[in-house]
Amino acid sequence: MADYLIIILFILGIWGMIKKDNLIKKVIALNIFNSCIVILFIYLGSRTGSTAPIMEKGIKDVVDPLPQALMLTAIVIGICLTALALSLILKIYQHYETLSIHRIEEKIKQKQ
Amino acid sequence: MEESEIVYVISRKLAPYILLFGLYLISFGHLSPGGGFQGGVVLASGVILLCLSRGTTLTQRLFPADRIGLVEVGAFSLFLLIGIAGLVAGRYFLGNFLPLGKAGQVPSAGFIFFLNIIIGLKVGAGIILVCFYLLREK
Amino acid sequence: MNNLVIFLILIPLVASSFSLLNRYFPRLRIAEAASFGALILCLIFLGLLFQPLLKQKVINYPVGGWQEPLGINLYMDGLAWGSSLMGMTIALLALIFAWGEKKYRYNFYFFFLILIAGMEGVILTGDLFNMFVFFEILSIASYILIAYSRERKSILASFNYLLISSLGMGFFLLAIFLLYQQTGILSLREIAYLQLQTKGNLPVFNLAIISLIVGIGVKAAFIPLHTWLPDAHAFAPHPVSAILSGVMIKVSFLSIWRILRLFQAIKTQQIFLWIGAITAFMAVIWAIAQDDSKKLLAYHSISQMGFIIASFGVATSLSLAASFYHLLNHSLFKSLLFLSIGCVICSMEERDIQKLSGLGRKMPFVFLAFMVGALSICGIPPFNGYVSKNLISLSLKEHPLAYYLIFLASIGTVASFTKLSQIFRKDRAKRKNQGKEEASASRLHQKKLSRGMLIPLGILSILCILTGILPHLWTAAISKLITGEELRLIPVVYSLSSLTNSVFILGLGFALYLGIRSSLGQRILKYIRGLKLGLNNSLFLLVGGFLFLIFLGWIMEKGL
Repeated sequence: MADYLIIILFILGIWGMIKKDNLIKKVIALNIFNSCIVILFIYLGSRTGSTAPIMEKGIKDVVDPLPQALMLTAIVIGICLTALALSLILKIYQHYETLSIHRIEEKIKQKQ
Repeated sequence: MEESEIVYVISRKLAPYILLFGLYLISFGHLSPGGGFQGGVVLASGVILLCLSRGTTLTQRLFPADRIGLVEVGAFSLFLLIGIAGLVAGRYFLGNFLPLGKAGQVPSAGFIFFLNIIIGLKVGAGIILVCFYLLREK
Repeated sequence: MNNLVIFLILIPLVASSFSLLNRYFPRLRIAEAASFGALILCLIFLGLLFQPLLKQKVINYPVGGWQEPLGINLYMDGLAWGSSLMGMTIALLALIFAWGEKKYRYNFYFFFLILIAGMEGVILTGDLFNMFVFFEILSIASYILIAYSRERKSILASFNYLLISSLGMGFFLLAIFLLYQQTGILSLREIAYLQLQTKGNLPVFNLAIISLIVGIGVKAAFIPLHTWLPDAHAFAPHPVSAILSGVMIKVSFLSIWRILRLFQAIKTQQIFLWIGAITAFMAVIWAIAQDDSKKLLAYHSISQMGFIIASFGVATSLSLAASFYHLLNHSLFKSLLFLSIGCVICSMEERDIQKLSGLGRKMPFVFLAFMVGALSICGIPPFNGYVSKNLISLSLKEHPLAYYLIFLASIGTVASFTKLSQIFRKDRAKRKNQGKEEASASRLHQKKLSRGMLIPLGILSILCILTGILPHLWTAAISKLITGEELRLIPVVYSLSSLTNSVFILGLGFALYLGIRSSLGQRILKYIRGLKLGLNNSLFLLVGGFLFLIFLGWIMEKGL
């Protein structure tokens, strides 16, 4: 059941980045895409064990902690990209005064 | 952003506990869920709560932006310094050169404790600076 | 002595933290001094590493002392050494140019050093997820550097690049997931070892390889993943254009090279023959149509990468040596071209080809450097482009369709560089038609160029000539470096048939240029210039390309 959810999120992220007109919605779709990859790693990586990977006395069957560490790095990188994309959108709005990618491309075509 | 008395009072009371919780997450990173990045983001969220409730100019009286920039740059250099110290002490880059203690206590796992603190400070400072610049009122 | 490998990544990072100190001491030039010192030190260390590299074929450095498969290992083999040398040299020369331009603050040097650290990390690492992290460091530094000048077009170009590249990196993570789920380890060599042992028992292996190729291929800019490159390279500052075009797209392609050679995926390698030939041909068509000088050079970057990729696709040892040789040559002459056009734009403050003319007399040194670069890229002896293009043509002899596409691409290259060189010639026909335009163009204020901007042009021209003079020596050295064995048979490059071939290409190129200047040619070019892919369509092309490559891989597995 959760596998289908992951596939739906994946397609939704890519579709949002391609079809949406507003630049901020594209960045939100990029975030959905990154979150989908994170969920994929953690969910399908947690199938190898049964409890959280905290080493206390008597706990033997822990899940694989490596995907969780990898996904921390991936989340950090996603945050950096989102912050950078939002600052770039701020500057684009100051120059072009619109957030719609169609109108920005029309303005560029008109200038030439 | 409109002023709201309830939000303003509660955020002033809540922010120190959020900062304390962030510090707990950083320092117990090698024993329980948490670590450098997670604790750093919680530290940043404490300061961002103050920003959102009252504005960045007032929050900068308590957390000035250039001091936080200094923390960020200093933490980056200190991380590289610890890595090179591992190199100088005979092992490889980022090799462990502090003694390992008993498992399950805070001062164990060598130098990961210090690296967690450094990363927590750097990430917290970075995200505070990002939000200071993006939430700035003209 | 093995420790020096980590210093190649560490020294740029330490120097970047030094250059941040420049904020508190604005008078001392800490940032420039730190960056120059870092790059010169890295070049010295590379020189010191050459002897140990010849003795042991691969230098292995475990970071933190954790051996494989638990830890991250840095591998330096011949391919990594060659590409590090190329990267550091071009970076040093671009840095001299940036210092000469005198308008960059300390944060430019900070991001430049992080770009170099990320580039070294990508070349040296042997772990898949570490490669992802270093690719992201490289990308974020390059997004910021492209948007450095804060003009409208630069920021939009950087944003386009950000979206397209993040989508590609998402596919890269998907590939890491598939490989990790099958094998449980992340180190490249261990996965290759496992895969060779089980002989194709890993079912989703092809899907993982195609995802990796698409993920890294967004940076290496082959069709259909190339749409971000013209805007990004054209609107970046000049030293950034030089290092992006000269080093970054090649480092990404070298990662694909290393992965495909380790996994010995010969079938997937042969797809690249067709991707390369089609890229080379179509990019030249777009290149001829451009009027902006830096966009023309950027489209040529895509086209020459097509040459390199096509030669990589034919998996013989001669073609691999030819591919790496053309990679080195292209970084030299493309940086030379970008820096010389940068000198022109800096002094005349005008980028359009149609508005500039007669600059050959005003800046003779820049004209000379540009002619060395243009003759190299067109493949004229005795410059280095001739040698590598000839080797590529010789290695493509068994695939006639790809050979003809590359042949047509060479003709297009000659035509478009004749078009670009018209800014240096006095154009008599234009002066007759538009007398007023010429008078107003000569009123363009010409700024003086400082010496720092001219030094890298001279050094790059000398290197271009040096790498073309002794082709036997260079081909043997490159083949020994990247594959570790000698080439059995090195073809003679300066033979009569090859020379007549290049004269033929030159003649046809001039004919094409004269054909472009007619009115029908101008109308066709205007139509091609109007075909622009927006952001939505380029993302759609990326996803479409990914699905198409998966389909192609599935067919090749079922059919062959």
